[in-house]
Amino acid sequence: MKRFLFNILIFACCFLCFVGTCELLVRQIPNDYSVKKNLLEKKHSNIKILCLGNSQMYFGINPVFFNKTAFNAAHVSEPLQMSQFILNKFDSGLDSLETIIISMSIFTPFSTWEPGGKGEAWRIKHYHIYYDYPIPWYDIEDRFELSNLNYNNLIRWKKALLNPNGIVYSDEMGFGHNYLQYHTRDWENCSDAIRVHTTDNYSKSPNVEYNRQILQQIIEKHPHANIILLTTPCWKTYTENVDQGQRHYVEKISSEIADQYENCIYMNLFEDSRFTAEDFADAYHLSEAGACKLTKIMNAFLNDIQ
Amino acid sequence: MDFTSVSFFLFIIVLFFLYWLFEKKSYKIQNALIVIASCFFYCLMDWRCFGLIVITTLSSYYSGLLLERHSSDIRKRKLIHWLNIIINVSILAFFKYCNFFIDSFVNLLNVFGCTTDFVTLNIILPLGISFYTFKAISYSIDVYNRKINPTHDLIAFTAFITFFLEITAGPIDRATNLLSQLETKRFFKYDVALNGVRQILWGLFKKIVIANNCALYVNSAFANPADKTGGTLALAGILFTIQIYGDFSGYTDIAIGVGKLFGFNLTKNFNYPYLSRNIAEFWRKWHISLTSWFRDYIYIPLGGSRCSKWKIIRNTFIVYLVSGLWHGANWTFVIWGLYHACLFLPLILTGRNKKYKDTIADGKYILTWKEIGQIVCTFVLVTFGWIIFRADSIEQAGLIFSKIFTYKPLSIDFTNEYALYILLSIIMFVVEWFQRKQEHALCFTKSPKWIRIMVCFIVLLCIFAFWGNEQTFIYSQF
Repeated sequence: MKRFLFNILIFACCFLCFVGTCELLVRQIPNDYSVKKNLLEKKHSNIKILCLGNSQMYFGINPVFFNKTAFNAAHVSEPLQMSQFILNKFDSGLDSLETIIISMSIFTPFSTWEPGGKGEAWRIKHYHIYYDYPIPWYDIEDRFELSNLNYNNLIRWKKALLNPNGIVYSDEMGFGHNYLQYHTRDWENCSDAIRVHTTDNYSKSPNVEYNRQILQQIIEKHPHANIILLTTPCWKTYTENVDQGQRHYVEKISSEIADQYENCIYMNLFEDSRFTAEDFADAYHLSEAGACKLTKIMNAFLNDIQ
Repeated sequence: MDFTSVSFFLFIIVLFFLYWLFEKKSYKIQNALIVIASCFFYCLMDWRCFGLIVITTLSSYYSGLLLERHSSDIRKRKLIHWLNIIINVSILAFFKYCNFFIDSFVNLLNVFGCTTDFVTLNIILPLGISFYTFKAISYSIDVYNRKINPTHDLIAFTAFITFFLEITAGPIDRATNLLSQLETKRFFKYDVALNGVRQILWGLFKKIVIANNCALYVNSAFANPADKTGGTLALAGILFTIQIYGDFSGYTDIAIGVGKLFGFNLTKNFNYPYLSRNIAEFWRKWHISLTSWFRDYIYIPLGGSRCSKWKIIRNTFIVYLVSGLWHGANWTFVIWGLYHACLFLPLILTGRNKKYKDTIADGKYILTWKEIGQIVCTFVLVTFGWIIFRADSIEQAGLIFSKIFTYKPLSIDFTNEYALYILLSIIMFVVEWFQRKQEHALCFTKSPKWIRIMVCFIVLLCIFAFWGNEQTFIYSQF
């Protein structure tokens, strides 16, 4: 027994040393999460417009086109709980904050992440590693860059090894460039995305109430800031084929929240005719030209309401 | 707390030290620990139906004792035996098949134009019910047939039925194997324990690295087959074939490996089934504990192979019909069972169903063209079966088959991500090919120590890297 335990212990120690060293090396590779976190830490006292949400926000709003200091803190697939966490983390230093723009996609009210959960929940590890998002003690896989791997991570590391600057989408203002460099232009066949974005029994989803409360907490915590719930434009192959019931349900929830608070506005640009084919990177993400157009629209709107 | 969770391994570590603390005292204390651990494990997974496992255990235990007491009274023995079988089968039938039969009956009446207002009940499927019920039934039949003596040790018997390593997805161990081990002293053996750790690693590799990643493609394709091309669905079928093997044999390897740490030798459940040359060989190597259960308790009592060809065919169809139903209350499983029975037909008619009992390419590393053809054919036939098995309904299975053969069969929705997973699957099969005569793929006997350590290191690294994409064990739903 002693021999067995000794050998297992030695093996485990060697393994942990190796994994620990690799983990430290991997964390040195810049990524969107580490870059955005560092930028937020550096700039948060000057930020007047803060954008939060998922990839539609990340690739859809380019803060350079606002005439006030703005920062895009959105991340791919980010649910509201993570947006709230980032906001709370930097809240005490956001002295100049005037506007918070939150993306309201057709799946936002139904999305939440739990450690070890399915779908995009593997991204929790980035929030834990770079933003100190709390996770349960037994959740080992969300503590390491090296665990909970997928193909995209491997590719990211490969690119990082070849070009240390080539794996970060985010610019100095948090906007995501080069979407098309990493994604296929999915124009006509977006059925997979629609399936992933569709929630069965959406009206009975327990996450709706949870996300509604998150939004209410954000709004109530920032009574002097304008909170804008933004549904970004999408291409017709997406808008026409999504579950229209779910879409209208999300619009209803967003309007209800906006009606409830004076400082909250719901902007629905889902089928906005000003956006043409050139403005889209794929059926549900804007291109850089589209992001420029949307940001200018938002800028004009913010100037109007202020 | 499934077998790939951190909590499970913490549970095992604590139990391991407690268990061997009593090595020098009495094995009965170790058995009691196993019972407590098993009850804790079961209740943690699903406490709601714990009462059922108690009923099954007590019913089978006392029926064994009564059979012994009335050993000379044939009528009473028969009565006790059948009463126990009826109790066990009724519990299984009610909780697993009640709604299925009600639904099927209503549908049948609808076909004849009768409308009924039957309502289905909201019944939960008790965890592991198919596995522990079959264990209990095998014990009862063996006692009734006087193949074994009934046990007088209730704790050992409870440990046998509720054994936490086998409760969720088998293997369906026999009393002759596991109960006899529970009734004797166990000793810690260094080599066995180390071999167990390696087997756990290989099981985790198959489940976490192979099965869980294949599941991503499979789930996506089967969730929406109407939108997929024939090539994509065919690839999904192949990946499900790999997934279900990695999932189930991975689970079994973990169970057997952990069993070795506690001094148990659990029944082998897989013997490299995809290296089979015909369907009969496949079934001798796939889910061995279930196949042998059906062979011993259904096929042979019906006459087995020692009767006319017509009866052999009838017996085969009965066995695979029951086998299909055992897997789940859905017509897809019934069709899957009958499909496999049909695959046996040519073998039975030509008398080749008992061929290929040896190890494939024994003593060689290279297969003959004939063997390659046989393995590929068997793999393809099995894959068709798994498509039926995986489909949500017969209609969906029909849609998938029609698309595979008619709608863009060469167009595959494929990314480099899946190429990586396929590559890992190929590595798994290559390793298993070279180790096909061994108990498991990491069972090294002649390799130098540093190679053994390096291989285990790489396997553990892969497990760690892919850990996180959790998927429920497929067979824990049966």
